[in-house]
Amino acid sequence: MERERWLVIERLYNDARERKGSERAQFLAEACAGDDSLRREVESLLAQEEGTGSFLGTPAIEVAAQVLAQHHAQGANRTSPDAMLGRTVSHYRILEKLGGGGMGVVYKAEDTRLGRAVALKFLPEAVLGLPRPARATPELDGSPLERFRREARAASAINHPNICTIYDAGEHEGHPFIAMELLEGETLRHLLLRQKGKIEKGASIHPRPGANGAAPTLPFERVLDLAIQVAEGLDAAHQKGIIHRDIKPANIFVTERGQAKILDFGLAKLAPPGQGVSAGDSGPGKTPDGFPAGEWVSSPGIAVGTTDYMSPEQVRAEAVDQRTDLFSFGAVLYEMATGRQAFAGDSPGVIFEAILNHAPTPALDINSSLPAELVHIIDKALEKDRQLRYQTAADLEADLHRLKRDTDSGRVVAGLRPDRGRPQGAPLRRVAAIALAAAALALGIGGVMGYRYFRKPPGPPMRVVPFTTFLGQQDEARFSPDGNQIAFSWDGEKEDNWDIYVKLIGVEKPLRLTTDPGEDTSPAWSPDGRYIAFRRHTDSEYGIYVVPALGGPQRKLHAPRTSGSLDWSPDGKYLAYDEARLGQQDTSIFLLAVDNPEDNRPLTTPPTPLTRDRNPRFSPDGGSVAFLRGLSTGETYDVHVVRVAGGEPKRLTFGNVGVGGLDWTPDGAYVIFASERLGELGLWKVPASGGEPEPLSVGQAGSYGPSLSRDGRRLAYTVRSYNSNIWRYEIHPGSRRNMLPTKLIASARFNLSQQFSPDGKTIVFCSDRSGSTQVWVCDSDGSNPLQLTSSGGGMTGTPRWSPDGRQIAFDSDEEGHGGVYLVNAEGGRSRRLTTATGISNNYVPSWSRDGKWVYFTSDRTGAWQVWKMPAEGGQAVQVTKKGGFAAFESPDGKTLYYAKGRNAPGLWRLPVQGGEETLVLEQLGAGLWGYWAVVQDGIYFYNANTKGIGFFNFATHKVTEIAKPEKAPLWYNPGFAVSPDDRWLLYAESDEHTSHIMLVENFHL
Amino acid sequence: MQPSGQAVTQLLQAWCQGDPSALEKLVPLVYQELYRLARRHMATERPSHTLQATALVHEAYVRLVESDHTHFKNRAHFFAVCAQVMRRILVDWARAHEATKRGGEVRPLKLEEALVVESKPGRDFVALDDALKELTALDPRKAQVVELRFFGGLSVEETAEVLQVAPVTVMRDWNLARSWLRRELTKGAPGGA
Repeated sequence: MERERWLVIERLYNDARERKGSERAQFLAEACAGDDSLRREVESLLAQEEGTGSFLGTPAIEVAAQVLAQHHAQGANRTSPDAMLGRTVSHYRILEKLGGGGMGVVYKAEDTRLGRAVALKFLPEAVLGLPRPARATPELDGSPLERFRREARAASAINHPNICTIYDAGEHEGHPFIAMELLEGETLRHLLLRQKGKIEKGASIHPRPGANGAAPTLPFERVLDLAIQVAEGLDAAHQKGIIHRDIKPANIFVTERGQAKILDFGLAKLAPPGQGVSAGDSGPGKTPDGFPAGEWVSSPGIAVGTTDYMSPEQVRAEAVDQRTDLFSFGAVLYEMATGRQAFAGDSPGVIFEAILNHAPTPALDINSSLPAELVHIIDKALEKDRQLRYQTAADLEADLHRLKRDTDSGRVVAGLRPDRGRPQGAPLRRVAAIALAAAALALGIGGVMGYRYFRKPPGPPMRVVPFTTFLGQQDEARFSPDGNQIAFSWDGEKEDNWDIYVKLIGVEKPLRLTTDPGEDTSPAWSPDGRYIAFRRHTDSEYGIYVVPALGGPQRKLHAPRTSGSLDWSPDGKYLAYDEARLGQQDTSIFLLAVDNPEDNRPLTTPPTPLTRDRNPRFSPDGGSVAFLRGLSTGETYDVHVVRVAGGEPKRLTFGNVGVGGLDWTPDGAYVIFASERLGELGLWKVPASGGEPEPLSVGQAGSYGPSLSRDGRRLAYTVRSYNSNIWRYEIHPGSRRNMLPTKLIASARFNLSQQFSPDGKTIVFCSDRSGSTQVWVCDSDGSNPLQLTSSGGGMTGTPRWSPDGRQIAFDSDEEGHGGVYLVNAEGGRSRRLTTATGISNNYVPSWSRDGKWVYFTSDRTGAWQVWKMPAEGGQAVQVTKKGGFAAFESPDGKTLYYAKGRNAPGLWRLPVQGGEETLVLEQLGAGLWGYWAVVQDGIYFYNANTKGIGFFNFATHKVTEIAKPEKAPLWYNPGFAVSPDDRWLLYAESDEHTSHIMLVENFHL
Repeated sequence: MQPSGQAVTQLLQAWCQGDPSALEKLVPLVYQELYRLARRHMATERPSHTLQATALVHEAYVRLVESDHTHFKNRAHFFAVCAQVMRRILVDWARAHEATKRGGEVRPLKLEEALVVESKPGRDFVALDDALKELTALDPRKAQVVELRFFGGLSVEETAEVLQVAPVTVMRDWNLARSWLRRELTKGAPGGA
């Protein structure tokens, strides 16, 4: 087609698409002006419109990944496996593909030297790429390939009719292969599957009455015949000291002439525990079509070994010996005799549990036609205790031979249930069980420990490693859906700009996804792993954005009115986020349709105007959202769960303490959350159906922000390290300039909330150096620190000395909500001053200059107001009406100074005798209610605009900068004091505040 | 064996600056790395683990490309290379599969899931590849858009960056290209146009 014509077609197509119906037809008629072929061309393209919706809609990249994986599984290097056909590998010419499974592919080949047909099996590199088994002997050291050759050579030494002979071992383009005897027939696995299929077809017409009906099994004589052959093969190998380690139906080949051949002897040793060499039917023989090709399980290319035939000692990762093969053989025998697997389950965990702790369903209950002798043999082979099992394959073989003789001579009649009804083995086993129980009783506690040891979930121990160790703060870890990457927020190497990053586990470099000068936080992955949603907070706006997980342009979905957190629903359709929309303080969880951000609706309705619902996290099935609910005035939260479909949230925890983040376990059974229940933040679990929370064995000592990978095997969380210290500045009388600081009160962790005693000789302050925040005192030079309080959980702070120096008022969360307490300055038991009023909070006490009243801040009216009550106890009186926080009387006792709220700017004053309030100092920044001090002639304060300490002179109304602290103050906390003689100023500063993400491998509850 | 990050970065930059031969050199390097990573994942990951292509590409990028992480241009071009690689992998695979259908041992991939042609049999990556070649002859940019979007999984914005056009142009190209391809692929089939 000519270029010009195509351009015309394109233009007409695009223009026509913007028109519908008759308008379009009219447009085309006019535009084509009688050129019928042009019109047909455009119309035929437009006709595709309806069908193109999903056409090419799903990127093929995921399919390509599968192909890559499949290439690998089939052992062909960079080419299609079928490209192997006709090629010559070593001196083998590949003729035909016989089979392929998850762990290898088998070809028929011609040995060009000897002129015979062989089976060539390619093993995946997984077999070689793994660490040596723990028990490998030192002389077996060497390259993995060499080790493989040696093992194969050892196996090739066994020459027995019931073992598939290995001729040779080699390597082709990095893929190890073995050349072995070519067999015609099928694996026992196929044989059993085929048998089952046949009988089950009949059963669908004539349903069988209960468990006593005959199960789909091989004829008894056939079972016995094959079993004897396998036992003979095992015996021959064991006599040469070679253990198979992976006996299972897929590793037993049955030739067309009915001969049993054990495959892959010795090769399982090269494979990691629990992962057989030949999980699929990749035997060296032809298998009939129409059966599943090996155990492909869920996705191609995944190396899947079956755990169904493992011995208890293998499950416990103990040393194996020849008796291990006998247990596995017992499981195979059971399946041959009953048509059912001895140990089965949906997950390795379930199967392991069965192998370790449960006997299979009695074989006679499934197949009542079995001779009791055979059942006895199976039971003895399946003894969990190796000492009680068959000790040698020869013993087992002898028993099978005896049974065959008796059957042949008619002493045992197959197909008739013996009168005894129970196998002979049962009483014996019972005796053994009683003996074991007695031994356990005699050992007392030892018996219990033994039980616990057995119950211990199998698998490697948990390993905690740092995931990020960059400068600054890294936080909000979230696993990618495949569990190999973590998205997180980081304030950057310069600690000045929060952005979203993604880092692969095992790779040091993170990928930076955002660079906006605003704060980008709260990353959440789309369930397909292609996108990351996050929240942005700039000077001018709040936003919810989406960015490709590999980097790229960002798209704004929504503009909420506040910042907060975010989660993506498992079906990919919704984002859950928190936002204070209705009033200033109440925060709800909202759902936002990703495809249609206009569609956003509240999921929770806060019960009070002060309630904050935060931190939404979808359950793995997407049916529920877990979140934190607390009061906006305090910092305490509890875990709640609400159905997405609607309804009242269910409260899961009743701690009323600080909580830092939550996540679900993949089965939805537990919510993992971070709580200050033991004083410091640490990770806990609580059943999603309700119950008592329990601490996790990892993630204590200041850990928060938990995130679990989708398979639950990895856990990430944040650990904070911080250090704030109290610095002293000397105020030069008159000049108030260029003051230089000295570090006065320092320790690891927090030191803040300092105040002088009335005589100036002692300093009271708060520190968490003993594990939880408590009130301490020390001399005015910082020496002789002494812990004054020892309240249980929660924060304890803002200690204030009474004017007579005898008492100290402070606040504490120890009863679940803030209360004001008094303690003697000498120490002793503290007593609560404020009366409990529901769930309201009372914080930041201070004394009237005459010592008769204690001021404090309370949210009992629903907003922060300054209150006061007699120091002797009594009725509380409301002082401010339009908001107030952290009040102090002026030195002359005539004026009350206070901030407006936790996060409100400005300092205000009110005559103590009553009157109108006035704004005194607008320069006091929001969140700095704890960084000012009133003296005779003015106010010292931290000036966030200049990052300096200023002095506001009452007479001149001017602010003079008197010092420049190196580090920032502790926002939202108290950290400022001036000595009574106006000579010393104490400033608490944040000397270090970092957080890092930790990763737990092999995580389990 | 791993190609040096510098080499890949330089090639990427050369290609960004309009040197078409750089792409030819890049494709095998990227292929090699993707294959190596896929193999390593398969060898070391636990059972039940699925290979995620986006994660794979991400890892290949981090390992291969030496660059300022915020250099979006490099990244977009890298994905464009991956798109070519993916196309070749799939087409090669489909050809081989077609040739040995009788074997029956190769688990069929659900191509229809990715390539929705209203379940008409016999349509696969080979046919799409052929049609794409025809489209390239007719209008190269439209074929590129399909390659980047379908084989590479690039978003409209990323595609626009690679091709140096406006996103709205990408959308238009995408619409027309899909209509055209769909028409070509359903030609002669029952119910086809």
